[in-house]
Amino acid sequence: MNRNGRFGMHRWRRDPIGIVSFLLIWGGILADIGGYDGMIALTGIGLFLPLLLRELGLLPWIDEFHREATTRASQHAYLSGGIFLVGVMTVFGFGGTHDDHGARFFDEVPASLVLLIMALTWYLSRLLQFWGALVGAFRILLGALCVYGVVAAVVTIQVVNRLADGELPRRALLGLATIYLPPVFLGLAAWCSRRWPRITGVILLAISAWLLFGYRSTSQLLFGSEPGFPWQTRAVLGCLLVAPLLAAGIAFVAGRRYHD
Amino acid sequence: MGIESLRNHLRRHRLAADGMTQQELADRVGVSRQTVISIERGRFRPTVELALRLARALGVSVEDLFELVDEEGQP
Repeated sequence: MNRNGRFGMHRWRRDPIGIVSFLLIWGGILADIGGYDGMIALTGIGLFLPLLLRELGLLPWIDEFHREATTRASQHAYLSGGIFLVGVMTVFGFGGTHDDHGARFFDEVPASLVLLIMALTWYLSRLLQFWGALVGAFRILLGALCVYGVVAAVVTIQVVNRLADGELPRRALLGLATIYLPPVFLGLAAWCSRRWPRITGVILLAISAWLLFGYRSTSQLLFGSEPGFPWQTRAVLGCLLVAPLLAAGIAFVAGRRYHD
Repeated sequence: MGIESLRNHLRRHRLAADGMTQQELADRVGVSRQTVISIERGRFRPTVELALRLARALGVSVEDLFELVDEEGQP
């Protein structure tokens, strides 16, 4: 038991709205990935409803630091969502690309993708402000490491089971090795960031840029030359992959050490 | 006039107050422990109201807790 209460549970009791918001935001994102299209609305509710209620004075802020961190995160989310939309309209708009029915391609960009970008930005920004840039970025990398570690373990179990049943060829084991690349890289980046934060940040930004702008090659690397998912789903998965790297990279490069 | 930044001595005064913990100080002024941590590390600048509450909780003046310093770190 620590000095701040049993297992630090006071923190969770202090912000029940934050927990509900967290569950709604990530529940909506996971449901969207799972193919339940309308469920992305949960993300919107988790993201905007507490802010709306606080703006109307119907829900109190925890304290002024909480208010400033949330307000700044909202500003970052507004910027990222807006810049993404302007970018899409500029690239596709000036390209003059239309489908057979005359619809412009940027009309095909799903609202859920914009909402996802805003939600990810808002959440990561808040984490970085609550924990501080360097510690926050380190913990974001560790969090991503845990998520990819679990994903890799689950995929490994499935592949091994299918190998045992003879459903997969033995060379599938070689492909399995690649799924451990992201967790290993994230662990290495987290370790390096404690010693060389700026260099690690630059590397993370470079990799993020490659994943973003080398989208076609990234997509082929991740999903093969004949992807089974529509591009919107691939874009959502790409966002989830790039967002932690990009946020940690910016924090390591722009963040500074604080001294008392 | 040169660029000035805000330096705070919250941690020093908190520890001088019988080794008060961050949580105890946070409870006294009605904020979260994370807020106290952020102020001590210079990540967050409190409002005048919170600065006054912190000073009262520690029995010092606001000027003892916060000061403006120039580029060379001089008050």
